[in-house]
Amino acid sequence: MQKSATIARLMGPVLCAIGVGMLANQAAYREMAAQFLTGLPFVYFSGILALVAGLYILNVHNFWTPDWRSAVTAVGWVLTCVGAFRIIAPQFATFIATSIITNAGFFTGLGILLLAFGGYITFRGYAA
Amino acid sequence: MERSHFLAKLIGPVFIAGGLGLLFNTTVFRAMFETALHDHMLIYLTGVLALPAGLAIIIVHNDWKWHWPLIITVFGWLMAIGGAMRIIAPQTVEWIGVALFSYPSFFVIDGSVAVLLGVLLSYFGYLDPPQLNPEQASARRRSRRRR
Repeated sequence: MQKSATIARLMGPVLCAIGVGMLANQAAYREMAAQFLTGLPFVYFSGILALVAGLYILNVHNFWTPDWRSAVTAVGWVLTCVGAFRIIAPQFATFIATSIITNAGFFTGLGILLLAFGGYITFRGYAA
Repeated sequence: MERSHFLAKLIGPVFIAGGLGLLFNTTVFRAMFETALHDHMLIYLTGVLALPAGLAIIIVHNDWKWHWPLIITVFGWLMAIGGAMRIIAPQTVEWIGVALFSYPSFFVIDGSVAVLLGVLLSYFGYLDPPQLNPEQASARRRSRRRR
């Protein structure tokens, strides 16, 4: 339980901050994402960071319980898969993301999702 | 030994993913690294991340015994030295990188070595073969003697 709370305390506020940024600052985020996706080295580099972070979470916290802690494990798996994909084929990651960010409602949807998920994780990590 | 396993579990899959990319996506990787080599800010940034990561490995794991964890110690030192070099002189890294990339088979050799090291580290980290673990082997020997 302590490990879950520690990871949630770190991860929750980061997800919340990204979610708020996406909702409040959409134009800048869209521009930033477009710039990020044109530079393959950044995609690769972010893949290394994501894979290490995901593997770290999975190695200290890899259990599926019928409560909020499964969300932490799920984030670990998502980070691991996304990180590995970005390292092995950064051009496909760019191709997929470019087609996704052209969708007008993408940043609003993802922002709401990240804010809700991050808020929940933060609450469970700090308050519960 | 516990630390060696934990670090091997983190480093092994990263090596495998990076090595597979180098082997099967060579054209994109060559273009990507050639772009990255001319971006001194990016080299500096990777150095700022590599130096503390390498130092963290050396601080918790500076084991020079002739056994598989030696791979992790060497990797930690290489990361720390490489990180410091990238911070102090990014242009030197550019010069070395350009010289290395001029070899046509560089990516194949680098990718193969990375996959091999990654598989080795993942094997030791995740599967923990008991015959290769000196602590477990000595414990087994002790229990046999007691019997």
